[in-house]
Amino acid sequence: MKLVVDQKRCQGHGICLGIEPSVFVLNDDGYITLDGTFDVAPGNDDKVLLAVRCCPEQALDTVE
Amino acid sequence: MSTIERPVVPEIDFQCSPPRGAPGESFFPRLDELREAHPVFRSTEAQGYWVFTRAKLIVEVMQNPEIFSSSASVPPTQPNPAFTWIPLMLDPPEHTKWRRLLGGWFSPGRVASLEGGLRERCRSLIDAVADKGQCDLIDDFAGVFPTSVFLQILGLPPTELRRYLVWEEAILQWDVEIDPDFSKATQAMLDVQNYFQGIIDLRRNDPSTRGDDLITASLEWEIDGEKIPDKVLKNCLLLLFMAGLDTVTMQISFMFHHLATHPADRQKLVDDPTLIPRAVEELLRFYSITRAGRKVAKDVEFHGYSLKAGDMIYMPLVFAGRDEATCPMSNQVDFEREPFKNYAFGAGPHRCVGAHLARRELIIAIEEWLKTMPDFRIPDGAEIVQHAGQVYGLDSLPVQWDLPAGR
Repeated sequence: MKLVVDQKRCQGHGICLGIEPSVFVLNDDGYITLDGTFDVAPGNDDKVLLAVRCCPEQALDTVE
Repeated sequence: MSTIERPVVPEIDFQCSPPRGAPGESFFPRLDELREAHPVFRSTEAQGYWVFTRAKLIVEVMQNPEIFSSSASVPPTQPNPAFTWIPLMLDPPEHTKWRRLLGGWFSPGRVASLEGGLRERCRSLIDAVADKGQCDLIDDFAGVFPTSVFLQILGLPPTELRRYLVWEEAILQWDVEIDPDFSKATQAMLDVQNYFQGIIDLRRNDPSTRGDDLITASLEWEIDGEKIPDKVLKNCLLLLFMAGLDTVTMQISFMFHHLATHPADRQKLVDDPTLIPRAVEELLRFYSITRAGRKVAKDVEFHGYSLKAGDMIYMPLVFAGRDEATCPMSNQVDFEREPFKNYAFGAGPHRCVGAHLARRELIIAIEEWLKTMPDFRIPDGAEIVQHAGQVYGLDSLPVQWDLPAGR
């Protein structure tokens, strides 16, 4: 599974940070620093899927 | 020839800020009825405006500022407002510049650094009432905890809180009965701006009044390489003043009203305080007090509705929170539900800048209160009156609790 981040959609809700700060790294203003497609470390699948489900801006997604 | 089928849009006698109801009455059941009956309706109030009740449409409106402008916002009865709340009533790209200036003051990192002070302030207020066995939750706690923190961030003297609350009440607890033409609210906004001019002048002329606070910092803010004129800066300070002094207070009040009247829910949090952050999300969803407004910037066909440039749209966020599309069994409070998309702080570029601070304060308020007064309740015969204002709120919330033996 891969994480897809559409950085321009991020509005800094910070929900993903609360779910897994080691994956979802925010800048000083609280917006996501990631943009593009990223491998998900083993064991982080569930947290990433949860963050995708909870992002109010649909800025996060996953692909196989 | 086939004709395009247009959804029927009912015209409804709906007020954005109706007068206070009788004690015990709530605005939410009527909003639930409207949401269940109509995905979209037109209010006949003032010049008339659209009301959207589905999460999908509400979020789409908030995410598309080029079509749905914030140049007029709330109340929807003011399509050509005499005031500009900054950054709430700006659109990108101007809005984005202001959010960059403000973002750092309310970012997750900044809020984390405030945690100790927040908890200490919360504890001191709880300790001050714990032995009394009763208090007014708003006067003694919800109206003081988030507001004093906020005054500190802005750099305003906490001793003036009562005075600020008089202004704030005139602006934010406005309704059609007490201020039909919005003139009292407008006057209060002018008074607040005049007050801020005095504060700005003082900071500028007397270095000893400067500190590590937002107002001091704002004197050095630049937009497009230029210092911000006082007149414009005051529109931003006015918005912060309004947003910081009422919203968290009223959100705490609704949350504590729920916990006081739903002992099983309260007991869940007493038994397992790790549920409190999820409970806060759930109560934010179910009792979303904020309403958003937008002005249509250009004629547009939107999900079958013909919107005209200049039309106003009104969107109580509780409609999005209680929409079945947001979560299953959305008409019930469930602290153990699967996490969901929470729209209580809005969406799109205007997502509440204070959301991280608000969430932290709400969690701390419940955690600390339940440690000391786990069994609090509303006394028999207490009259709980709701006001609509700009955000839904309670006029007062008397609560009582048993003192532990020996106290």
